[in-house]
Amino acid sequence: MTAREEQFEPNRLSIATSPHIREAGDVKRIMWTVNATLVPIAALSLFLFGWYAGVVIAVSVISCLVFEAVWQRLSGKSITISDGSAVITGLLLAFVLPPNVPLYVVIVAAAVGILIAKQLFGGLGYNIWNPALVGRAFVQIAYPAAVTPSTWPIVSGDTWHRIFMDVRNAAPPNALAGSSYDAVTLATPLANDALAGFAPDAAGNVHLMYPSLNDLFLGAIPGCIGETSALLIILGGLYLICKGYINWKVPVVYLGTVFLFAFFFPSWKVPGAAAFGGLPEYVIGLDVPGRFFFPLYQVFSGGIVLGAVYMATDMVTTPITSRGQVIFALGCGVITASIRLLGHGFPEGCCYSILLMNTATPLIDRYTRPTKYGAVKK
Amino acid sequence: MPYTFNGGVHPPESKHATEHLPVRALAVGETLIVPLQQHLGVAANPVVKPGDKVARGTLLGEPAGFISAAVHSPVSGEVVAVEPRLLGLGRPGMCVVVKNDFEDRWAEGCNVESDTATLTAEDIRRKVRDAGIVGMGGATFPTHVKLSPPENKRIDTLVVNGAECEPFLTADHALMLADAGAIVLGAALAARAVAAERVLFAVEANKPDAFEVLDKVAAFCDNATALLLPTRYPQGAEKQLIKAVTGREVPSGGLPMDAGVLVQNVATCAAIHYGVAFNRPLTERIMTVTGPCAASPGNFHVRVGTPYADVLREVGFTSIPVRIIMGGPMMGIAQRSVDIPVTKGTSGLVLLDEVPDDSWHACIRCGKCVRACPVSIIPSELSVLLEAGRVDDAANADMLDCIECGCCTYVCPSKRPIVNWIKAGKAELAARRAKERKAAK
Ligand code: SF4
Ligand code: SF4
Repeated sequence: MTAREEQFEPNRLSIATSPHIREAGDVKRIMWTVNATLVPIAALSLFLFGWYAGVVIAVSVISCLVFEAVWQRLSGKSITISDGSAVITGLLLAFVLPPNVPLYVVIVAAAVGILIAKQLFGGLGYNIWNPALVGRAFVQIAYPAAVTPSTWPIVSGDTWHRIFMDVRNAAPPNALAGSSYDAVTLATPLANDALAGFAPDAAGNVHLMYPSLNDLFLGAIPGCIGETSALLIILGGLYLICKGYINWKVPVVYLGTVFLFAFFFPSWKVPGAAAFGGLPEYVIGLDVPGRFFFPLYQVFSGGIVLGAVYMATDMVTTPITSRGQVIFALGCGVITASIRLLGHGFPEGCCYSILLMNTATPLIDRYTRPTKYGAVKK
Repeated sequence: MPYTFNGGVHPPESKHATEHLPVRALAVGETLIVPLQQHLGVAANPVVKPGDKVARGTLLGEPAGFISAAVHSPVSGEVVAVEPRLLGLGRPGMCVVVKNDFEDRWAEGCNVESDTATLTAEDIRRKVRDAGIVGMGGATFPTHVKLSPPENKRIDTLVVNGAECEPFLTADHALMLADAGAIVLGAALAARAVAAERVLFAVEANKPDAFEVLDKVAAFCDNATALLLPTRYPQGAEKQLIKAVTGREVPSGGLPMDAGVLVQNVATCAAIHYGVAFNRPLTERIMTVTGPCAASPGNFHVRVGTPYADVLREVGFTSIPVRIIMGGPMMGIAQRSVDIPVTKGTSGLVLLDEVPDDSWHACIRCGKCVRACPVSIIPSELSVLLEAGRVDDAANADMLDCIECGCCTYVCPSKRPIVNWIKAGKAELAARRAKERKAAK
């Protein structure tokens, strides 16, 4: 072919301003990658808590998609549910609800999260608060009994435990392991203000109330659908860190702050906690000195690992610079620890700490602007 | 040393097709279209009329003011027209059209070697001005102006820019391999003109051979050092290069000389050498023609005024380009026609077979643009403000510090045309300020 002028009538050549190339990757890819890392956690929840957990997850995801599509349809916008963001909200919302939550509660939470927290503010990118957490906070207040039930089902905790523990230890590492959670229903750590009874109680059934650190880390415990397995959450987080989608400093600072708080102020307002160092060996599980037991227990119980990895790192609702994100994570850690260790009203501080810090995000952004090139130094 | 600059991106270099090819001479065409404005500032005033006989190096346009540059005939022949033609910036501009007589005679006094040892700073500046030399990296700022810092500014360092950080382009690379001597001699002249104490040659790590050559040649000069910098776009942007090689920052709103530095592109240095030591006006350059649609990509010696069609005929297509870019893909300008001529600042043509889709979405605050921005401003914030038409708020959010490098737009997963909005915002602000000044008068 030759460069004949006729081939280039002015309107044949495409005109646009630079840059003329773009990096591969888009919002869809980010969102669906996050979703992919949530799948193992969802799968484990089915295994641990039974098929109903799967129903909760499905209802949550489908409700989020439907609410988003209906809103966009009614308000005449293009429907963007394929971007994967509503799926993330649906998954995370299910993850912070108990495995026996009634389905209408899930649907209400999805409606509040998607319609009020996300779409009312303008949709993806414009929301101030994490939609999943807003949904959860709403139903926590509206249906407290459904969100913090008195019993927590678990069906395969022991099997999950054995997959790991029997490989490493010929004998079960602690008395608790043998006692097994399979088909047992009991309270989750923290979910029922369990801290108040931190010391072994007179009846001696402390091993039912307080799972070992090993099980806490593996997730072989009763709890909210996607919160229990720190192991899978951390693996998912590591993948997202490698992909550059989340800042490693956020989970590290968040969890580190909670750890340090619990390390230095272990006994505040927690009856019997002074005895934490003297807890029966079999409760401790991991071979850690007693001094580290309580802070580690704090870090791995309840929902803060999930919150620190998947919610405090949400792009839309957290600060935009790395410095701002560290401040955000620090704030989350301090608030979570304060609520847990000082407060009485809420047993679990993660959800509220992140929502509070979401509120502070514009302020943090304002005070963490990078120093621009050539700024005149005063 | 070396230091580094903040932010930046590393797009696929795409230089393999041309990076080790020797420079090919391009047969000079029959008609050359020489724009009177090939530089920043005021267009040159034409000093010829149709029918005039010219030789290579004959003055066609003289500088109209201080910030302007002379324009010379690239061939011997006859002026056939002085008329507006479509140019690379997308608008028509006055051009002198010269018909080549293929004798390639130099004008009297041109292409004659002269001794440079006794030249004063003022002599060098005058010869650079007479040779019509402008920044050949693409900025096209008249070089004699850069060589004339005001009395109260001391320049201690000359940085010679061989970064060539734009993907695809290899013209500077080819020049460094082919003619390092001219670059170093020209740099020495430029350093003398501004009384700089040291000369730093900056080359990116993806051109180790060019670095080696410059390093060897620089060893013959006093206070000259070649530096190998990590490959990162926009290393070749003046302010980023200054930061990378000296650790200094140009104050916001200031010029390189406010940091005591003068930056010259390698091709400009070579042009200074030939202009000053050989009285050769700037009428030709090396350019890269490459890209997915180029059948036989290469680096070419091209006369200024050569229509793109002449170069493209030599290169050939594998498929018809969807877009032709003058310069690199990060900051280059999409061209409307192949009749547009090559100018002193045309570092290359990139023939693309696909272009980014222009749909975009809301900012998800991923922060990638913030990390990529080499001037450490917040592009996402500007994009939201400018999308809403809030130009004044954008100006308060450091819009004017943007160097329009395009890194933010390159990385944005929401594909937001941030830098386009910034350019439009700056233009609107400038237009409004000009109006206000008029009203005040
Ligand atoms: S805001 Fe300007 S300087 Fe910063 S990355 Fe975007 S184009 Fe480059
Ligand atoms: S890269 Fe795009 S989506 Fe990400 S913060 Fe910047 S403007 Fe927003």
